[in-house]
Amino acid sequence: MMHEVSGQKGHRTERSTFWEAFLFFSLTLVITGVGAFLMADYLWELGWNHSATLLWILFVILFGYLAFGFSHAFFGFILRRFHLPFARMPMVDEEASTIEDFDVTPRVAIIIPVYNEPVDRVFAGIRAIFDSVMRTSQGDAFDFFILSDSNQPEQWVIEEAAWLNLLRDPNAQDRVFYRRRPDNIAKKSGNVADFCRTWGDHYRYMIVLDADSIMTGETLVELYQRMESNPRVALIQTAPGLVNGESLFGRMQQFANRLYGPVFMEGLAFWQQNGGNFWGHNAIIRLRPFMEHCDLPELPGRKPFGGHILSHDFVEAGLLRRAGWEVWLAHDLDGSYEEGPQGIIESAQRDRRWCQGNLQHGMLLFARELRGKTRVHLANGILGYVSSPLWLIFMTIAFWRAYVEGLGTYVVEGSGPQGIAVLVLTMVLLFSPKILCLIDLVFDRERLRGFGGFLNAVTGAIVETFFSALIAPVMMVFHTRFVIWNIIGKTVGWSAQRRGAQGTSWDEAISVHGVQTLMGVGIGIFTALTNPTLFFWLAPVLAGLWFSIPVSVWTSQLSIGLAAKREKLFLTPEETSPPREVVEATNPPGEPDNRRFRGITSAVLDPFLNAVHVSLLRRNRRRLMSGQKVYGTSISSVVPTSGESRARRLLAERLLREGPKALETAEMISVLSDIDNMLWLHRQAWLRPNKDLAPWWVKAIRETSASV
Amino acid sequence: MELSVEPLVFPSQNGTWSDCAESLEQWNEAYRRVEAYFSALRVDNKLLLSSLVFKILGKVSERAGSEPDRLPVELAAEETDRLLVQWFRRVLDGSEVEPVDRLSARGRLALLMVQSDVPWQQLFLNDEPVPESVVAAIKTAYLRADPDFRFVEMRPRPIDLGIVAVANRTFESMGIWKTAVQWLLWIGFGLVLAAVFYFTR
Repeated sequence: MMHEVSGQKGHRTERSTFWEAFLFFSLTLVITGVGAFLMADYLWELGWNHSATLLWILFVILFGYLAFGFSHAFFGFILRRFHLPFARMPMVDEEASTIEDFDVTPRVAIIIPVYNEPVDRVFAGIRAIFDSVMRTSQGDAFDFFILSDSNQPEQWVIEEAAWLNLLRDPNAQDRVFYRRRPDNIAKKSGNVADFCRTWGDHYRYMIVLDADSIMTGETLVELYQRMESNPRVALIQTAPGLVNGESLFGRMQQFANRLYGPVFMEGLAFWQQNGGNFWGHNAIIRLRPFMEHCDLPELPGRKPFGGHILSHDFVEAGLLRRAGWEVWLAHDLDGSYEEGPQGIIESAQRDRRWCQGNLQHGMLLFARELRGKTRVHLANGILGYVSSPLWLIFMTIAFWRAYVEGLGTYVVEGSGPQGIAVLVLTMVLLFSPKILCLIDLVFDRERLRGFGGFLNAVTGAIVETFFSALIAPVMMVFHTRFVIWNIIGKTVGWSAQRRGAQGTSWDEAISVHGVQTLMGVGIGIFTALTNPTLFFWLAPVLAGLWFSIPVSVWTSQLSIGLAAKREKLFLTPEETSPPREVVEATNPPGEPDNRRFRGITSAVLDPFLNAVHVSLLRRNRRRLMSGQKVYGTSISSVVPTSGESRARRLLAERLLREGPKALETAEMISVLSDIDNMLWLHRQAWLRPNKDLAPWWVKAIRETSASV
Repeated sequence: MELSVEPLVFPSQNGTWSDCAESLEQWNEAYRRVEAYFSALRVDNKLLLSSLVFKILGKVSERAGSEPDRLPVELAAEETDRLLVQWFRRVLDGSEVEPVDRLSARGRLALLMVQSDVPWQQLFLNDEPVPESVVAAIKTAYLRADPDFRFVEMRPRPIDLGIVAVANRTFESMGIWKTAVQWLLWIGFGLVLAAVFYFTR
């Protein structure tokens, strides 16, 4: 391992983190052991047979997973309440390192990979973060890179216009940069790697943000200083809090995240110590080791398990650990935020992508030289999705047994103390983390005020638990389907995440949840007719499926979310007193301009935007040509042939004569990507008489004149 | 600054513009096109804008007599473009061989970049010499989209997948990955059915 020490002081010696992990996993194991024993005893009482063996194996896996979750809450609570000095967090060493001491100020690149995201929101977020950084004393150390992979022509040009708008602030010039990749090779990880290859050498650190990330300048500087003080650390991940939830679903998610998050994060930081994980954004990374060790190879075999590694973040953290670098979770830092999905369907869509990425990690689970904690992170990700089909099989066998053997043996009342003990222990594992988090809140007056007081927090927790129970069977069915799809090779494309509470329509809900509802109703009718007692036991699980359509629609609606907010239900500290950055990021200045083709029209007609667009194309062409060796590109892929140029000129002519609607997306991209065509289009649009232009352009020119 | 707003005589096939409504509309179109272009260039001073439009239309009216077959809007757009390119060539020292499209884009970009520091609007398209300081500012203005390239080669480090790699190689070497998965699923389904039957006896 090569440590980067230039200009840095305050080395720490690596210490063993054995005891924390030992304690944590011992607790998990003990709880699982007790549960497994009680379950075995219970099944023995009922009469052991082959189905009992299967049930018991499934129970041990699922119960162990539950115990793993509980242990996070338990240790998190103990550590927070008793202020135990477990944490060897890499903190800022005030004596050993002040950034001003260094001969050359190490620089930080804040990179924001974007892919067809809502431009107004993304750039308002960047503006808010930029302003926040500039308010600190270390603002000069940070540069911003908007790394676009957008492949929609309109989106591309609007991003350029928004970037140009940002540059109106003289401070932002030479500090906020924009680059668009003409191809999307290896998606987000390829986008980041492209940055590293081209500019990574300018910077010591990069901070990766998502399109919806918000971070305060103070937190960014703190991360920077922690890295400077701890040269063995390659990555510090923050724990982003969910903000800007508008629908009921979004607000419930953010309430749960803010209420339970701190306790769970403390527990997570406890066992993982320097073997932390990377969640893809809101983290600072030391560039040199990252560039040295984290260029990901393609996995052998075909999709979905082979090919590019989709969930690259876990693997990158694992590779840094393999190379001997430390990876930490800064669970103690506030000022790091992101936005979550606003409906069940959006959440499931995101889960489908994540499911594919996490299951692909199965290929790496037994890879040589990975650290044990890395394997735990990978396994945890896999189990997060595989547990759904396991639960489904477990419940199917349990209820099938109850159905064929008569329900009497399964009524807890008559099944003896072992059955009751299993039930009680399971309930404790399920609900005590929530209770511990509420108790923790009581001792933190400031946070408690943020939740609107204890009563509001408890009410929120109860309602959230009710809805979670209602939604859980739906998510179980979704995840089971995703796992099966993945195994049979049905992959997902790369689509931009929908953000904001647009609301799920009834049509959409029926088409997505229709089969789930029918399944729930079918099972319900069958059991009600054949075994009413079993129906009674199944009802809590089936209810989620029966009501999945209305629940999906209602919980996604903005009006219901806002009504809950008025009633102070699911209040969070960020809603009670919103950080300045969050407010600025969610309130872009001016009214959004949603006119169709407004970007393409401006790229052709606006003398400045056209010049900027062409300038960016030229710069990108120069980049690709001079960096052929590192990108593996060829001249022919960068410079169009004369035949291609002629074809593009014909498309440009059509664009002028028939308007933007006449061109397909690929054709429009082709025109927009051609330097000569864009210059030609600008002059032609202004030079031609109206009769030689599509009415679209005539109208657009008149509107420019009318705006004077 | 030249601010000539003398009445212009716009010729048409029937005499002057005031002689026919069609001609009036054609000149109005020309006026709007020129005005639109300058407003797109963010020339926001109304007086300056009118002055520039009149300047262009004056030149167009001179040409219109000798080119009666062409519409005023065409001539006006051409004149605007010609004046613009001429001015950029003068200020940016552009060579005659530099394509007009490129020179125009270079000039527009420079104007954008100096917009907040240099009062270029008052000097814009003016025949008088442009002060050295403004010329210098416009010439040196450039848009910095990103820092200088400093290319670094990154090479993926191999990951030894262990037992998974062996399994994968076996499947791949069999060349029947898809078929194998299909059969595995079917056999798996059969086994599940058999297991359910067996375990529930």
